Amino acid sequence: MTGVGDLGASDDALLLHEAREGRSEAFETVYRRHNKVVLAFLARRVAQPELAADLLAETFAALLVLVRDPDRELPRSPVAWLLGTARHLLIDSYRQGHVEAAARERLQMQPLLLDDRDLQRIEEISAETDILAELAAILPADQLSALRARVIDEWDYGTIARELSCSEAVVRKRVSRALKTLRNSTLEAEGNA
Amino acid sequence: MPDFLDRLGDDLQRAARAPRAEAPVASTPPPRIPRGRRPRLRGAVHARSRWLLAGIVLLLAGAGGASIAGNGKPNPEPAPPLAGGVLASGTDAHDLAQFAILRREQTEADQIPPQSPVALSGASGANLALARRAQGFGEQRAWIVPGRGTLCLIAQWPARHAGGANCVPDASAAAGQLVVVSGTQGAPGFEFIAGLVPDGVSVVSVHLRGRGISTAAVHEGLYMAAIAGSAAAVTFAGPHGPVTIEGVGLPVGSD
Repeated sequence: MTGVGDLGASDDALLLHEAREGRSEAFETVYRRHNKVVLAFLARRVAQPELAADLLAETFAALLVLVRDPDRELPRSPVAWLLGTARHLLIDSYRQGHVEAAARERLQMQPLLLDDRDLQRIEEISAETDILAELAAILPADQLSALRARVIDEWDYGTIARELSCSEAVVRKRVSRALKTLRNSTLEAEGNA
Repeated sequence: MPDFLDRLGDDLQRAARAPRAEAPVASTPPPRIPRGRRPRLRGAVHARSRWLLAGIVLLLAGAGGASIAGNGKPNPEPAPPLAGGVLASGTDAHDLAQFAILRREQTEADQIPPQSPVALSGASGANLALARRAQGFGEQRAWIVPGRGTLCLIAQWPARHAGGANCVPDASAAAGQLVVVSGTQGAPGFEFIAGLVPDGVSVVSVHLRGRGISTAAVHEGLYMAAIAGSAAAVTFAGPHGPVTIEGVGLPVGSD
């Protein structure tokens, strides 16, 4: 993945604006920058790499559908939008028993077909990718710590409070603020999930 | 073949370039396999072929969730049963001419491992001692087993308890009709597909019901892949022109 510190959310947002103006390579750039972190995020939450790949494809397709719809607001932080949308799609896939494909169908995209090298590659990407480095580009340090423990590592509030030497109330507030920061960038995702 | 991230990037790029009049959202939902459901025998087998598959007993290694699957569509004429279940003593000249995998020297790697016991009845005459395992795949594995006037394909994806076996007459195998499709355990909406194609074919296109087309690489005449959706047909550029194998998947609504 390209250095996240050099490629901020505003840069991504600009690329999406350019993509909306018809520069398809701008969308490609956003995809190349963030496909691995979104894939790693998903692969660590599902037991089967093929499901992670399926969710990844639908997540980026959903972003492209948004970009191509001039009536919808573009996300200010595309990577946060992508992670939020991926999470929603993942939850929905558990509820529904299958991965949503509406965005890909709308775009008339080809279905995924994976061989075992692809599956191995997904596992490698999952092991190699630093999700927190991506989130660190978006969130203040205290919110990142709290969000990491709560959402990434899935600790309970009491454990996080002990780890961070603060009260549960403080942890809840930090997590809440972090999620709000992400949510500000992912309002569109709510509609997609 | 580029990895799937590159292929997905190419697909997105194509979609991004396409005119904005997009397809309406499909009304048919993708195939649904409830979580935790055990893959079942995929019975997409025409009645005429049933005797052949009925004679096949495939025991996949590992406890629980082992799946057995076979797919005889598009219903090539099955070879007649052989009295006494006589096994093939060698590979038919016709098959040797058609498939390089059967012409190469048999090695230890071609043996079907004892921890993955496979038993084929004598109906097809398939002789496991003549099996060749396709090289170039990793965890997914497949063997071509010559029979008496038949060829059998055994395909397995142990990690997903997916796979199956199928036998068809030599002529049908040469036409690309030796295909196995099965569900996968724990991967809702995915199918495992494997098939044999004639020498010289390097890639096949797998057509999914309502979800477009994707491609799979061929190694030693075999293709294997996990597909997001339900397979409907396989096409490839054969030695004598384009080939379409229809009806490779389950009948609609049989899920």
